[in-house]
Amino acid sequence: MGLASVVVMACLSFSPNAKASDQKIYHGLHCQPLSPQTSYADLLYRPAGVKNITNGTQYVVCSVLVDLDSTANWTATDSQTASIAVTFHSETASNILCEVSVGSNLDGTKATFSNSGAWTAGQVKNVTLSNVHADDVVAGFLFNQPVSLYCRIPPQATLLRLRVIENNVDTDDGAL
Amino acid sequence: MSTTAQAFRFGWGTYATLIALSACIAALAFTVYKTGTHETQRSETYLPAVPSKVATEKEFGQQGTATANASRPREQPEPEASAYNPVLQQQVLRERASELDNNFLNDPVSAWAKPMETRIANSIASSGYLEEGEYGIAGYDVQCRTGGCRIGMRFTEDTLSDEAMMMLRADIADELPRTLTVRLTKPDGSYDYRIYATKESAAAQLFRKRTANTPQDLGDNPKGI
Repeated sequence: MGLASVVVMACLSFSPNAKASDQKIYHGLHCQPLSPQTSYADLLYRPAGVKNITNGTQYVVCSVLVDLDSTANWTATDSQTASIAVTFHSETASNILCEVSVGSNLDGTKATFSNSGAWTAGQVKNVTLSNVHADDVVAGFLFNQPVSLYCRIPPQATLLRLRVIENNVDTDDGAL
Repeated sequence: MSTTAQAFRFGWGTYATLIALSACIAALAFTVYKTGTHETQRSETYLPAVPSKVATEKEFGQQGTATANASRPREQPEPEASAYNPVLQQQVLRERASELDNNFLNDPVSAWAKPMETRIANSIASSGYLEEGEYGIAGYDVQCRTGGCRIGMRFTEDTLSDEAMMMLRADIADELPRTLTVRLTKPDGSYDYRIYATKESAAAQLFRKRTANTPQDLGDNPKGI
């Protein structure tokens, strides 16, 4: 019985048709200081996340990976949008803002989505950016739109993680 | 436990294992079959269904960098995946900017507009990017209506443009959380950025397309890889 269970589980785990997860977690360590406003010395990189250790507002920029399968370009037309939840801990009452960008000014259009929230001292919660997608018209002209995240971190606040959810669960069909 | 019982247990375990292995093989075979089916469907999906409004197949041929897949003979080599056509790109971007301008100008002016224009102008003026010489903002223009604002920014050099616009967006995100930015190249080599910043509630209206079936595939990179 035990052996049979192991075989079945192994079979399911290694099947190429098993859907890869459309929800991904990125550690805060994934983010970089946004120069020239912020440098590495302004931030503390630790397993808990990336913390602003200065008395002023600091900025980080993070890349967001997009599945490179046939339908991975996030467009509203195809109902393939994404949401990104960015989790912060703040030691003091503060306001935190994040913006996600889809596309690039340099080779087409850039669509941005911003949101912010108020934190009380010691609170852990998310800034959530919903319905994120590229500009419908130009997304198809230049495929593989890059996605990036930018956040304004108040003093003594820590960016813990990013959770990215691609809404169209069919994007991972196991076939590239 | 009797010998018979032991034999029964051994036999059942073996039987279950064989069933599991059979199921595994069947699942793999089904996967291979489905993968092949997906590939077929995908190839069909990415064939351009209609000639592009902004660049017909004939125009593609004249510009000489990309040809729509539907009309390309089989023996012709595949176009390079990154074979962008800057002339065509600017054409698409200008049409998109024109479309966004049209949406914006059809939005009525409300009492919210003037204070918001002042707020944006103050943000730009205090940002320091007007004093950066050839790297900074060479000129700007702000107009607001009801659902959002159109912010024009001109840069002679592109080094600080991304940063300057990012700081402005952060400043106004509480009222205008959605933006669409189009970068147009001027004949003199400078860059004309159009930032269409909207309220969340107005994004669908101000960013809408003129036609329902604007082509998604202009043929230069049909599989997006």
